[in-house]
Amino acid sequence: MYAYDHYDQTFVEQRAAEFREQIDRRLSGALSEDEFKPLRLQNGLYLQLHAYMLRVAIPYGVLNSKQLRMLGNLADRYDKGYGHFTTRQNIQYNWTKLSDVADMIDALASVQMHAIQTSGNCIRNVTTDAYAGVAGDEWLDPRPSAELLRQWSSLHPEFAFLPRKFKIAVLGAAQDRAAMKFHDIGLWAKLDAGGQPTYDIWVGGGQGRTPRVARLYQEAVPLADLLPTLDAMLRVYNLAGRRDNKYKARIKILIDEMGIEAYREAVDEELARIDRSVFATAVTEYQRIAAQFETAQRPALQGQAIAQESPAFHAWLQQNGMAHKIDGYAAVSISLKTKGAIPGDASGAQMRAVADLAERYSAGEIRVSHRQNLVLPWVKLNDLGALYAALVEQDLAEANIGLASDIIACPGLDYCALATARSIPVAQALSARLREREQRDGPIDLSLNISGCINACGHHHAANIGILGLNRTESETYQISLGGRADDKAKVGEILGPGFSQEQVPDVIETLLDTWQAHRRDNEDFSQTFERVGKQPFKEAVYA
Amino acid sequence: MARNAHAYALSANDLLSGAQVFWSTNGGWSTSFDQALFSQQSQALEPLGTAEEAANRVVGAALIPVDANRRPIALRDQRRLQGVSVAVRTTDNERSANANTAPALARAA
Ligand code: SF4
Repeated sequence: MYAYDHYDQTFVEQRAAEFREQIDRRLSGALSEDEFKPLRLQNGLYLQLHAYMLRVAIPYGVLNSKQLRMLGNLADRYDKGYGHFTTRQNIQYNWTKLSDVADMIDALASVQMHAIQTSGNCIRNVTTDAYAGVAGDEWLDPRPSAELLRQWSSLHPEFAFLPRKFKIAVLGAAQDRAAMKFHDIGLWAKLDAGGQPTYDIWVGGGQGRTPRVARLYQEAVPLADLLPTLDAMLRVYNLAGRRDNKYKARIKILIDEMGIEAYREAVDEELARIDRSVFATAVTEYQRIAAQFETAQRPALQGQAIAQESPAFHAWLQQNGMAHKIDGYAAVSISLKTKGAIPGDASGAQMRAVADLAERYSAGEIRVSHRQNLVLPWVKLNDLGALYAALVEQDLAEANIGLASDIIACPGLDYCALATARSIPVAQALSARLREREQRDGPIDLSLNISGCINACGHHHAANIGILGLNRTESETYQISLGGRADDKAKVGEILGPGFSQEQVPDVIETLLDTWQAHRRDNEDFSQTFERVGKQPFKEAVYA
Repeated sequence: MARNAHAYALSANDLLSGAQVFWSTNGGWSTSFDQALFSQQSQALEPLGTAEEAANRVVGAALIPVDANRRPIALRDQRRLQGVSVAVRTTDNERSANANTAPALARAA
């Protein structure tokens, strides 16, 4: 794992001290809310419906056990005993007091964490595949690239006030497990013939009110050109992106309006002007960072037999286990979607328990996935039985990763000041219903995501079944879309028709599943069936 | 102001806790909507919100339009008033009891 050097640590501590002073000035009345708001937002502090919310950055979703234990302790000491893992691989505390924030940030800094750039119109936390560095289908570990981008984008003087927020995802495997094409910029890292990193750059993806799948900007950009190219791409956006209307301010709209060719020309012009000497150390810095990610240094183990024989264990391993790059290991997901649970929520006790298990069974390392689950990336095959038993004790052994009951949901109108409808109770009702169905009829392999407003933090556009909570004449209605997907064949879902009440949603979803089963051929996944038959049969079934 | 509004209450977030508070009949802020002061004149409450924000006691002061039964008209206000739909510990007593049982932060990390 990457460990902060002296420079990183000093930066985070100085920022913590600076924000403490700003909070003190706010509490003393020296700063008004108008003056304080941009400062708190730059430090991840929002004001929500019932309290302040602190969003803590988990760079590219990677945590060590010490950090996760601290997150659990913060949940107990300063929140109401839990935290919420988000679709951007971060964690949010929903019940923060302004007077506690400085102490929380100091505690975070003591374990090399912070909340900087988790809000505001800047480059946000860079995300990646939760199985980075260990996935069997990976050709390049994306974490060193993500860390390089973290260093480049942290307090980047030109990009602190972009037209809108800016999200970057990096991927290094054959399969897209980071929804890369739904980001402002997606980087698909590969190796060239000489074994050096290159990047396919995708631009202008995003969800929200105007969902777009990213367009290919350039293939095979060498590592040495990566940061100058990104700098030029951001500069053009910073200058030409719209600032008159926040709904039209994302880079996807700029690309829509100017066209990808004109955008490319503008970036090329900028690139010709750029002073490349400032990026001269990028390649050596990448190599320094890469040396700290030790995947290649771990010895392969003899493939040990799995002693544990129970059918429940095998079902769990089948569903939550992932083939590992190195013989003798498995990567294992811990579902935060037990039957009826709030997607992404974990209690302080659970976080500490997972931290302990990571120390015992996963080289002290944990990942947060964009599907709001946790991953233990380094489990020896012969430890799997003991790990499973320990997870069962913590109620963390739900075997539903990637199934319909593994629902993504945003906080919605329970917490979020921007929400138009609740999403948590819908997710809870569906999770109970769908988990029962899965346990009765077998795994339901599809994605089901819920957002509490058109901002789409719950990725509803990118789901096989997407649910969007809306406010229609002061009552909640849930609009359903079908056929979205977030993998390498990324696609925005199609709206089915008029919305449904909260109470109707579980039955409607079951009808959609029945319709899929009725039309499904062989082992088609949901997207294949949907693309073949279209939305009509689904529409007929639910609006009958 | 809001169509069909019978009256208005004034709400805000408490500066320190961020909790939703209501301007009360006692002439101060209360966390209880039952104690909220209602006025048929939005203009009577708006300056109060501005003054309280300027005094750094609250943030996000806003009017809540209510119907004749003093029920908020807007869905957002209704949901906000109901609180979160999940069971959470809600009192500071519970919170400090919880903090006492949590391992000390310095030791834990
Ligand atoms: S999708 Fe809307 S309701 Fe959900 S977290 Fe994002 S802004 Fe809030």
